[in-house]
Amino acid sequence: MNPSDKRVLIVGGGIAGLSAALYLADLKVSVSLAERAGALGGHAKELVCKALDVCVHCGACLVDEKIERVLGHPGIEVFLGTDLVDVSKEAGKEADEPHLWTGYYSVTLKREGEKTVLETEAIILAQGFSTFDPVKKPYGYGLFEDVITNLSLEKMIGQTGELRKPSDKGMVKKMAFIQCVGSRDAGEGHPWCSKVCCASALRLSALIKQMEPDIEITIFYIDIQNPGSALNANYHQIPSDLRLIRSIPADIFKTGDDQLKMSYFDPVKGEGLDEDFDLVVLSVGLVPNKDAGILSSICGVELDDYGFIKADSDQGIFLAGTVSGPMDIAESVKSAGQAAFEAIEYFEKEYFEKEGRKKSL
Amino acid sequence: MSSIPLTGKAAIIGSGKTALELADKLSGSGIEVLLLTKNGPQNSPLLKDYSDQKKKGIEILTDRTVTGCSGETGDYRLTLCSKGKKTVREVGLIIILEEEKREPKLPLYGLDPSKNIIPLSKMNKKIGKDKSGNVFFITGLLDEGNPADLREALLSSIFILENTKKNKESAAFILTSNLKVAALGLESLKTKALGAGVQIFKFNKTMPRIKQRSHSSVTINFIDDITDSEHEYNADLLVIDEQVYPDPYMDDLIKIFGLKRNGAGFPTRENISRLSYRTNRRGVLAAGALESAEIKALALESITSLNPASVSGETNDRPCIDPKLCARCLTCFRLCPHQAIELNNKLNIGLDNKLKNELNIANSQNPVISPNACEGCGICLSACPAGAIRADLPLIQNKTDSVSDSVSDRPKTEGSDTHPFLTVFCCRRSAVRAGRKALGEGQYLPRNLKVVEVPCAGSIGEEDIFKAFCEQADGVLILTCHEGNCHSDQGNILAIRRMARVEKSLEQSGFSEKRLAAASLASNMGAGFARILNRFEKTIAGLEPKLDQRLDDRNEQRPD
Repeated sequence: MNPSDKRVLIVGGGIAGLSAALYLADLKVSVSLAERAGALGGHAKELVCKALDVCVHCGACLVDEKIERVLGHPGIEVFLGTDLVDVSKEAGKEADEPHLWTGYYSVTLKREGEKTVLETEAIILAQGFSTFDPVKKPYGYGLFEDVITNLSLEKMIGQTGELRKPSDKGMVKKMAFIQCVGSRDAGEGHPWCSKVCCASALRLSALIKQMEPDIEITIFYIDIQNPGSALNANYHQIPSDLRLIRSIPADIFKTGDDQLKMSYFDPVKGEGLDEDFDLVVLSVGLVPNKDAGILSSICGVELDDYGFIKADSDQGIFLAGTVSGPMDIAESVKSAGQAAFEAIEYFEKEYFEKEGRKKSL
Repeated sequence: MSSIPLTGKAAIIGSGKTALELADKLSGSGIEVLLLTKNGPQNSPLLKDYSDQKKKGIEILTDRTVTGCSGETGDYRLTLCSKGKKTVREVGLIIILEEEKREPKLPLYGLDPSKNIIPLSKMNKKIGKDKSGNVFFITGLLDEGNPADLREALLSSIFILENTKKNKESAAFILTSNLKVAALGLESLKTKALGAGVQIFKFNKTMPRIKQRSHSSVTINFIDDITDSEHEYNADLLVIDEQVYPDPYMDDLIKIFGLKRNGAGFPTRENISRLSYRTNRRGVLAAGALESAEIKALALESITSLNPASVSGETNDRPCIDPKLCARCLTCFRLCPHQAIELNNKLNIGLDNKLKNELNIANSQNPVISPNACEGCGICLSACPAGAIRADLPLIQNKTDSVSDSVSDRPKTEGSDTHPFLTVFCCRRSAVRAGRKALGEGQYLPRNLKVVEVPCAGSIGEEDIFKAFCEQADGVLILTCHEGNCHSDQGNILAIRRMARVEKSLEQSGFSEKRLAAASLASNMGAGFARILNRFEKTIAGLEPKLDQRLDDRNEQRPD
């Protein structure tokens, strides 16, 4: 039985897609990996290392290692700048022992106008998430240059190594994070916690404090979620002079002399306050991939109540990573392992049903 | 599996729900499973249908403790003890799924055990239905909670309010400092709980006072964070969260397998290179209680571990110990982060009898490197005081005379007066990758740079650093992974220690200790790599004296 007769198509080359590809290819399953962008890595590639001296286990550095391995792996065929355009289920090949699997997918990929058709036994969807567009919130995003998202902040620090106001490249003396922007928000139709933003904001704060010791950082939050592990949180690196205010600000406006003024209710003082900031960072939530609707019609899969894609294990379509819901890098890698196992279980099941019958005879 | 080659049995140590579900998944994949539990069959209700499991290819051995382990991934020999009798079983993979111990956090809240105080995991529907009055759930109040506990508290409190007996009034309260909703469906469940009448209080400003008056009476006083109103209740039932810690048997297992622990005492470290469920030892996986989806991920890791290609690892060249030079000090054995060094007299088979007699080693325990367990970090090599360990690994071979091609493509310098010669030892996992990223981003790097790639910073010996100085370096920089991110666990720390010793020698010889430095980074820090190197160049350029006596030699050798 030639192992590479089995092929799995993985759509999406972020941390989940890369992990699933490696898991399967290391087991000699043939893998085709299609990525829409011109390079592999997805969102996690833009994340900055948040260690001060001690690793904070965010997993961002894993992406480059995996990209290296995937590109060098003889069993993984990579398609960059490639979109998934069609998926059709084909009837079976001749059943001959022990290869009892009788169905497969004919998948059409498109790159710069050119189409490729692949045959694959199973499909793993790993297209990742989209971020909430904070234009809908009264924070002046899109209007005020110094109101940015947490991802933009990561990009700035990662690329320049410095923290500066986007408007005039000036120093930042006072900054604020607003958590849960578009998350835990039934009004927006997002009644879920995006899981990763609390840890991200806390770690970024510690990193920024190390870069600029005199900076004043405030975090506006609802609840602080645990970074990573479900057990006792690892907060020892959080600077003690970090202001944590359990309140979500009402709005932001510009003052006469071009400062950002934020209004919020201070629960300790019990009154509404206005405060000036140089930079405001919105921790935007992880929402369903904006192409979830298209994907669901191409692959014939459903969306769940929140709009995230649902797997169809009976039909050989599995999910890895944030395409199914918010999760951090460690969980994405785990879910890739889960999807790889499910795919293998799926195209091996006919074989094992037969083996099982043999055993009980 | 028909299309995936697998060899060897999988041994699962544990007998809980997770262990049995995993056993099922693995045997369904055609893997023979050996389930070992220290419990008797009567303690494990799930083991009752043993005969059924046997048919499926799962062998269950109860009343068995693991007391020893030798070998390496793909070829482990487990010593099992049962009622004083010892047996040895051969397996390819070991999965530790021993259950956690739970203790209600009574000491944390200053409480004594009482009839109306129960741990969260003991809360069940029967209690919920029978109980009336005020039920308080305490989760993550004085320390951090977690989503699993909150889910339990929310589900139970909703159940209580929806199922109270007629004529009996019930109220359910949840007291916490942060609502841990970072899990599927919890935010919606919280909304549902509030709708059902569950009262949730979050505390930041002040903490509730929980007082036990007599053996069965508990009163709770608190000030609402938001409204500042005072409340006092009599708690008819107090449900508190639990501390989780490893069972003493787990401590034994950790010692037997030579595993490293995380902060909570469990054998899976949070080290990113150990995702998912791996330990520092190849062929040994570990996890706690898992959800079904996670069990599949663990099953995949198990399959990967039993795949022959994975067993033999990435390279075939391994360091080996020369028995003629080995002083049997066991330094390598103690330092190996992967338990890849075995004390063995069996493996002397390769030596001829004359040599054995000559060296009197026929019956002694010699350290031998297990080829499949070794990950080629090179720590043993540089630690060996007798220089008895050799390797054909190109990286270790060329450690002190390699020049990295990838860094020769440097951008031109701008406006610097002096360009001291810098030798940078780069850990292959982090620093080399960061360096490549820096080049890809067009970062400015020091002009006279010599990069020495090493598999792990722990493989850098003191003699390597001295040699670098002897070969023109004005400054030597050691780049390691961040603490807690080293694939060899403590390779970075070993490197720092050795560096400290060399620093002393430098000082005593009249050189500035600033000529030797270390920094840690991660593989995605392109800008960081450049920043560290440029800062170091500046430091070295500013040092006096400038090693004048060697200036003539250097002028001859320096390329123009």
